[in-house]
Amino acid sequence: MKKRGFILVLISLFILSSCTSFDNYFGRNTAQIGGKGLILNFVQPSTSEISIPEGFPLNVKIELKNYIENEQGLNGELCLRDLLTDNFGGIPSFDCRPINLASPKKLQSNNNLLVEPETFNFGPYYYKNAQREFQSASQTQLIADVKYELESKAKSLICVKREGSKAAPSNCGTETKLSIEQEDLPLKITSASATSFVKDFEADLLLELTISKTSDGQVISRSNNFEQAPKGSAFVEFNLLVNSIPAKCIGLVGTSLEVTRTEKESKIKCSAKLSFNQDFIQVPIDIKMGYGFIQSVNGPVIKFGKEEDI
Amino acid sequence: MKISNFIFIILVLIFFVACTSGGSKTASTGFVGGKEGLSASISIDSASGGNKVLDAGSENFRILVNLQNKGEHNVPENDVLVTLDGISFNAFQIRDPTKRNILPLTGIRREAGKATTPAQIIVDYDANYQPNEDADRTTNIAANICYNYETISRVKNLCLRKKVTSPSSATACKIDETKLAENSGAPFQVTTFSERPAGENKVNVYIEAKNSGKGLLYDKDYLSQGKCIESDKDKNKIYAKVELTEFKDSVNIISCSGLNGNQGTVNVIQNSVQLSCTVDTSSLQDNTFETPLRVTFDYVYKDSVSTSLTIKNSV
Repeated sequence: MKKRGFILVLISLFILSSCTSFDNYFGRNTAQIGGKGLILNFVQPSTSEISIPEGFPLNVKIELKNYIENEQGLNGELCLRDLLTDNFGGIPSFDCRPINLASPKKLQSNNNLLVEPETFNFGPYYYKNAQREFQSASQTQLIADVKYELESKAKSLICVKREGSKAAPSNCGTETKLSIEQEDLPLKITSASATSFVKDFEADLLLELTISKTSDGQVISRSNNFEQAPKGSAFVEFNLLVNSIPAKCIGLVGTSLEVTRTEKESKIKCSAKLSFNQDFIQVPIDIKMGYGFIQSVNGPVIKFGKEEDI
Repeated sequence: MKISNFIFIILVLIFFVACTSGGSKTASTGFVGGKEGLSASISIDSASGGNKVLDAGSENFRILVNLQNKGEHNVPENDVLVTLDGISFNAFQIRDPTKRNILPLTGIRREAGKATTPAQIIVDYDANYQPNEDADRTTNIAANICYNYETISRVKNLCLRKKVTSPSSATACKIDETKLAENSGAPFQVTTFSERPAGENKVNVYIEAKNSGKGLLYDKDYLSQGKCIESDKDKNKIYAKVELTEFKDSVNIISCSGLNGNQGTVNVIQNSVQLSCTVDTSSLQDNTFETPLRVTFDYVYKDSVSTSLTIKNSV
């Protein structure tokens, strides 16, 4: 018995520590938007369900934490809505706030990110007659829509070697899979490979990338992209540099990758020439993508009741 | 009595051990020997320390290539080319990735019964990493080292006489046998030498030599290309010369297949070379005698060293 109790305590401690170690956990009133990049948290109401009497003010506070590192920070819009028509009061069709979130700071001591949360206040909102109209289901739900634009940066190293080079590392060859360093964002490069052909003092490089949507939501073109994407599509600005020199990519519309709403992934091929006057070389590959993203996050359920019932 | 018997047995055993321990004596050679030429290492000299440098032009640092001559060939100045590899020279602001040695590297020799300490020099490059990195990254930096080197192999006891096929006395040296080749300290060495009769006035010598190091053999004139990088057309070539050191006209009496008489460039296949040479004995004395034969190999040896370098994102 004692042994069983001890084991149970150990397991409980383990579960507790696992559940509380992550800042961006999936739980009540908190959601991860677009990968680990942007975290939304319903601070008020703080529970997943509340009951309020009709006519009682409803104040909503939403906290955003930006983990996306980029020079410009994160710009966009945060909108709050509910599932009832305006006839019942509450949140007007769309109640929006502009968001302008600073980029997180990196701590020198341990390379962790220091994020300053920003809080957005909504309301007060007043509901009326909802309970009378919907006696059996007198409730609604808060929904937050976040729309933002960003420029993502991903990077890798490609190693190209001349036949017979003994000093080249083992991952250097004519065909290699690339390891991509990138943030956790709605669009990610989920696979990358490179093929190199070395002749005399030049190397021809061919890169194949797969870009995938990794979060629920919709990719949209950035507001400063004046190219009109066809209906149901968006343009993702795409720029690939090999050793700081732009590569030529096929499958683009101008300098943008067309992403349709239904497609989960897109494939892209790029080529570059490298002046190559040595036995092997490791060159950096930088990939930038500019796009917008919209995602809806469900918030607390609001139940309506008569004042005396609550 | 018993104790005295025991002591006697111990003494006999000691005697036997002392007398038989040096039984199989190896022939001493005049060379120091060894299978190395130049030994190299690469390191980074920076204020950040630990093979780390800062990005965005924040830190000047040096890339140091240390060379030691562990073989016996004297390497004069300008006979070593060091070419950096693996990195973008532009990004690191390295004006010329290839440098030569401005000082000679003398070979090791025997002094007072011991081998001398290998001579060493440092070839250094000033560098500064210009691009601005978003985060720390680690890369490989290497140096290719190409150097002119020579191996001298000597067989002290080549056995010759005018009429090879005529009988000889029991005490005379043997023509038909494998002989010991002594090698100077170098990465390429003779491993097999054998002699046999090949006609009334001919003796055949068979020489096999191998590359014992981790580097590659290049044509002896390869340094004139100006940089130490891979080149298929110049690779796996070696210049060989076979001569009888006591004879001024050995060029006239030695002829090797694949060479121009007694010398020439030969291809290295799978890191080894086989030479078959004929010695014309028609002008030699009637009596059997021993004479030294020397094989000289001249080549460029290409080796490489590498280390990791971490480029830190400076704030």
